[in-house]
Amino acid sequence: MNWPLLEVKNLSLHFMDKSPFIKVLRDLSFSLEEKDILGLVGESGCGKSTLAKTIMQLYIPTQGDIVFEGKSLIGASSDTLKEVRKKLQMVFQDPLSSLNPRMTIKEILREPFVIHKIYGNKLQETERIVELLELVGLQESYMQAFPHELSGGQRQRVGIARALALRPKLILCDEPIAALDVSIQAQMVNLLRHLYEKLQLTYLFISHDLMMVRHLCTQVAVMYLGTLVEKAPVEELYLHPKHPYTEALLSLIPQVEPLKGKTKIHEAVQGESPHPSQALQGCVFASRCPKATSLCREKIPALREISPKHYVRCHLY
Amino acid sequence: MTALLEVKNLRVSFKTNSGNIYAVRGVDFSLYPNETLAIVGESGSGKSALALSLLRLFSTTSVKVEGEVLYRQQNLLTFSEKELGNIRGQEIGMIFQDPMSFLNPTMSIGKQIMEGFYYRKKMTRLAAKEKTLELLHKVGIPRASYVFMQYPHELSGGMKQRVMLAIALAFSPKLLIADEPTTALDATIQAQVLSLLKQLQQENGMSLLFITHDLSLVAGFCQRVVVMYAGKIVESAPVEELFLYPQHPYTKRLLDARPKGDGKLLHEIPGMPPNPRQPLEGCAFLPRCHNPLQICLEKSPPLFSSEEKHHSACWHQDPRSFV
Repeated sequence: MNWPLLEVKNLSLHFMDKSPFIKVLRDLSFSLEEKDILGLVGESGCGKSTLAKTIMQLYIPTQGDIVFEGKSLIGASSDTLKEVRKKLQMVFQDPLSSLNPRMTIKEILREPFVIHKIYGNKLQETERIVELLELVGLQESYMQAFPHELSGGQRQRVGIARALALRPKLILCDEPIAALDVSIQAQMVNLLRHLYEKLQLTYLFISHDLMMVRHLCTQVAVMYLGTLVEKAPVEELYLHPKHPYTEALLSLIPQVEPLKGKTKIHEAVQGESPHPSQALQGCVFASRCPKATSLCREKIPALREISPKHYVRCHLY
Repeated sequence: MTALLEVKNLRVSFKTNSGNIYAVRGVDFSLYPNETLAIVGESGSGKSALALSLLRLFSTTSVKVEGEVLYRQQNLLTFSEKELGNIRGQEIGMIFQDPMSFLNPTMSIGKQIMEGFYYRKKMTRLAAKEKTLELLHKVGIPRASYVFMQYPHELSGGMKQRVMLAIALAFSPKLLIADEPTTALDATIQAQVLSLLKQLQQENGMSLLFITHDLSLVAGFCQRVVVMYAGKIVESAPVEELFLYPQHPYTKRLLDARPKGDGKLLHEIPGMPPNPRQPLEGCAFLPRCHNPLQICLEKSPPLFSSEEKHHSACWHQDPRSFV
């Protein structure tokens, strides 16, 4: 295969119903190869979830292109999009609000088959639903349960099972573990890893947990204020971060190793990120960057490949 | 050294139509002057109910709090509402996870902070305003006189948390209870708020009761850690002891559940915490424990002490089990 599974090219999204309009995504480009797990990290409000929803075509981008398996999704007909969505699925952060409270688990998992007219009879459907439940580690008996009867971890398993129903290639996971307790997070990440290996999936894994991203992902992209500031293979990024914002984020990972001397809580960066409606001339991070020069405040840096597969958007490189 | 706060056999339960919910099932700990004590637990472990019960801040009347909460040797649970009013804010301050729901959306920031000075200290408007600006400055809010006139919705999450901290510190309390103060904040803002908290604690000579679900936050921040599970303390130790030599299987597995950077499968903790509606018999962690004893089924373990300051509620720590 010559093309990457997913390619996002110069994507911009502006919410224009308010003045001044809000720039949620700014000139964002990256590509995702098959069988990669791309971790997407960044602070709240930087546009991670919006990016996922834009890839799903839930928002129509202002500029740019999204190419999935060599086909552009922008302006595609609803029939084409329906076909594409079989291969492109999403798992949400809050499993309770993304499951219909009035449907049983069986009904929830049956929906994709009804919408896409996959199976002709109920027997086949039920067979596949049992198979899906087994895949995500739930007992068959949960079929008749309602979402409120399940725990947070079990609900997230249902969310994953629903995403798997149509045998997708790419799953966009929007903070799938953020709402769960530590002991349940481990279960969920192990499950995602197991499914990745068994079903040959590709993930876009949105998270703010940098340790989990390092554990699960093969590639990491760092977002700040709607734009991609750095992207690299996982170990390369954690060992040789280039962008000052990435450096700051990584220095904040708490070290649970008292042997190496007491960890200090350092204030890595001052200030807060500007509001996305603010007009910015130069680099998005310039207002907080300890290394900013006058060039950074005037000119937007380009995304450059500084070593194989390591992209940085910074004037220093 | 005498403890500033001593909690003895504290139990909190809520009465509902479908039976009682046992949120805290008998907790003992003490907090010394200038000390930072962390209470760590997952959601539903009773840590927030514990925090609220110390100052009796429940909005419902169907809650039952039993045991003793000794603040400077006085039992706060026997205090009347009026007596407790003199403790709240003046002796013991508190900040919460979500600043938006604890700040009044219809009042300007300045007014909310000044309120206390009017009612408690009978200050004049001018003096109160001066004190308020000083406080805003102290918690690191830039352009204090502008923020003074703003409303909560105009501020970011980190700024709101700073305002709440300013209100809590208005009367220089001796003890600050912080209930998940940084959970709703981003990593960079979280670091800012934590270092501010640390700095103010040293300046004011406060004790800090820091409640969190994030064990990794505790490492550089606290001196002692108490781990809660199903409404009980399962382990309590100085922070380095806890990370190096955890004794209770729950603490061990909690530490193991985090990625270590070796790419191996994570250690899961199978199963779920027990239902808070049911009374407990035996050890609460038993169904998830990989090495239970016969006695774990029958009797709830007390806190055993191996070192002077290291306690854990596990029958494996009973000296009799060593033979």
